[in-house]
Amino acid sequence: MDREFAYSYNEYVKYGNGYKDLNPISKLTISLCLGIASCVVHKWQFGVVLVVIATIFALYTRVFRKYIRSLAVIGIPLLLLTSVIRQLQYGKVPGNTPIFKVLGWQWYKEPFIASMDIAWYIIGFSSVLLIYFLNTEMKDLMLALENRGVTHVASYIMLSSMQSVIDMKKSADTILESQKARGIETDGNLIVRMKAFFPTLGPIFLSAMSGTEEKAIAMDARAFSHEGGHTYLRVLRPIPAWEYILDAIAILILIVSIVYTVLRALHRI
Amino acid sequence: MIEIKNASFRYPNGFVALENINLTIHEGEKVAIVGQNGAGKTTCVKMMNGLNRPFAGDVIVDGVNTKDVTVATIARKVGYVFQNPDEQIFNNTARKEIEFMPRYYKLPEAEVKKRVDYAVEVCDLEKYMETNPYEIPYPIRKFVAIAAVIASNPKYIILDEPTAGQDLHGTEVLGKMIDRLTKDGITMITITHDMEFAVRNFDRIIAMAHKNIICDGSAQDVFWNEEVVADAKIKKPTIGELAKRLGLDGKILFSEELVEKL
Amino acid sequence: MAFIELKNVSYKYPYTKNYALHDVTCSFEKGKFYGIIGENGGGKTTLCNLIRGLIPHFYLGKLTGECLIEGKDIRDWDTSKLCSQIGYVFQNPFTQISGIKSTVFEEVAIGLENLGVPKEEMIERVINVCEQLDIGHLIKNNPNTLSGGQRQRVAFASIIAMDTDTLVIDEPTSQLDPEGTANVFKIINTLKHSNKTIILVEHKIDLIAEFCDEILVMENGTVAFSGPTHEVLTNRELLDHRASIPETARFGLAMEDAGKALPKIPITLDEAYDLIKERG
Repeated sequence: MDREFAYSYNEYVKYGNGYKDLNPISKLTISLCLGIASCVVHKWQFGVVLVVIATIFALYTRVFRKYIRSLAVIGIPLLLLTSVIRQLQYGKVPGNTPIFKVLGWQWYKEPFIASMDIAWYIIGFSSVLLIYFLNTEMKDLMLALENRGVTHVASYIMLSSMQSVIDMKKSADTILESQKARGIETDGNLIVRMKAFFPTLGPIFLSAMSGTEEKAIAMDARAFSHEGGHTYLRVLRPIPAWEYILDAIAILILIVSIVYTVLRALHRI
Repeated sequence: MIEIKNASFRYPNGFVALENINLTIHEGEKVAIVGQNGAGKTTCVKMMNGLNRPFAGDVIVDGVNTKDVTVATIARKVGYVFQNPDEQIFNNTARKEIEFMPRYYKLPEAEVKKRVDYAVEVCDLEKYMETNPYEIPYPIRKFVAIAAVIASNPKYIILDEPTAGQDLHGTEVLGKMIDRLTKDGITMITITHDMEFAVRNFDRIIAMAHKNIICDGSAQDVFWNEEVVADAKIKKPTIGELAKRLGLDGKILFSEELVEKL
Repeated sequence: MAFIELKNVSYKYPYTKNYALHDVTCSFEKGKFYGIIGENGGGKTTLCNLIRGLIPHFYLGKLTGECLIEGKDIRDWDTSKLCSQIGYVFQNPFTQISGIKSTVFEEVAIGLENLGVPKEEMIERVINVCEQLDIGHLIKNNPNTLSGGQRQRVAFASIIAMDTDTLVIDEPTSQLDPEGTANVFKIINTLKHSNKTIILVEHKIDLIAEFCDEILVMENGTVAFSGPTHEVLTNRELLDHRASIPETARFGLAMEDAGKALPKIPITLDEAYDLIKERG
């Protein structure tokens, strides 16, 4: 038995990475504030800055591959769609400045900037949240929430539901095999596949649900409903003062963004 | 006849689970496959209905190569009852579950009734017909799954661990069922960890270990071969173990034989 | 006073017509190892549910008679306190894994976390239990990736870590392969020498014969037979009652029938061997 591993639980949860070791709630606050600020400001420059920052963190936390893949899946279609649609809608409006041609089609500056604003604010928002979710374990977030007073019941529901989904995916394969083996045709055209869908759906949900009563009994046997102190094997490090300062800065950025946007809108009027 | 010729099977991740398997099962046989978990029993048996297709060699069921047809097509001939009935059952009464395949095949009403009645009789499920399968105790629910497969009228039936979770009564019903089905011309193939059950109900025992078949013969051939027992990590039936310790010859496996010997 | 006492207990699950338990009277003494056998539907699990307090607190239904745990009626017990007295392991290894912990070490500690045990003590207790149950090599693994047999051992570990005086174990091996079964029985063997009160429900009669001090045979919601293991398992009437008896006992009875009776009817392999050898 790896006793070192066992005794390592005496220490605080540590990932050895500046970003990962931040408290999950602080990180969420910062990410949400920046992301919402991006939505509020609605300008491509803000979005691009966020993406640059997020990319730096992606490299720092070594999630670059997954990050860039997800971002591309969101970003590329978004950029193409918004720019094309805007050009179609507003391209020919008189007074527009032509900028470049795309495959012989004349594109104009004003709708292009507008489309970039939309696309990039969303990409900016997504990038900070991607970094958050790629680097934060749900169990750590739930632990942080429990420290702030959320009951361990809510935590259990959240985490076990997530695990159930993973289990359902695994059992879906076995169930599909089982139905194939009794003669239900699953390979073929769409209609054949649809006919096969229902028999496989039932067992997936039923097996997920039929275990529920036993799970409740098992958790009860592990003193789940015990009132009185609850201790923790995994403990997050105490939040240092400078994290609170970071939170404050992020909130400030959000407030400034809101104020700026409101003022800008009023000016327009 | 099910023929497995020089078949090797590999999982999508590259792991080779079966190497060069050669096995022929004739109609009317009663075969039990035993061996440790990981030896390849389920993997091998899944080749018989096409769920697993070998990357080398062939599996031929009644003259048809499993690589040439869909699993559902072979399933008409080779029925497979999975270990966990909950992975198969999806109707809300036992009757509907058992009728499902005959109706799926669009058989005439009289034929559907005939098959359902037969399956119900063999599995002793008369009093559970209108019950929701999830309200039926688990060991009996296993019989509902078996009945549902019997109702598709296959020529070969594979049972995966039918005795897991069963009590004495259930195991007896299983034994009777296997007898009855074989008498009616259906070939029975079982994977089991219950050696007593295997010895009592099956004439032919196949022991598997290390991705291969290491012994194929009668119960005496398998359980009195010390190397095989050790290799496949199977347990000799109690009476057999006792006879061995006493140093008796005659490859005794049953109580009656031992009583006579002493 | 017996540790657990049932007097004329009858119980019906909600919405059912038949009584799951009919006028059951029996008692369990501290420190003994009890086996409960019988056909499915005979009331074994219901009895376990009652002792565990799930009846009447979790499963409502109609309960009459007295069920006393340490002198206090089950209806007056708070189930959250009862779980520190009576541990419970049952057959399905998949539903006993919480799904919320990412290492086996944390999984084993769940009960201790809920009970508020201080962290240092928790770590020591988990290490001890893992060594005792031979799952030390699994502590870093994710419980959700373990096999059925491994999960069952982890389930045992989380309950044994709670160090309850009594353990109710309901068919722990019915979903396991022989290797898994053997491992679970090793665990039960260590429990036997621990002065805990153990109530084990099993179908594998040969194994029950090895461990139990006393046996109850449940049938149709009543206790059909009870008494010391040897007495119950060699009782011919059991054959009529469709409960299983060990192969060796069957053999012993067959010898008797053939006129070649052994001095005693054996219930374990070793016993049978010794008896035959003695006779020559």
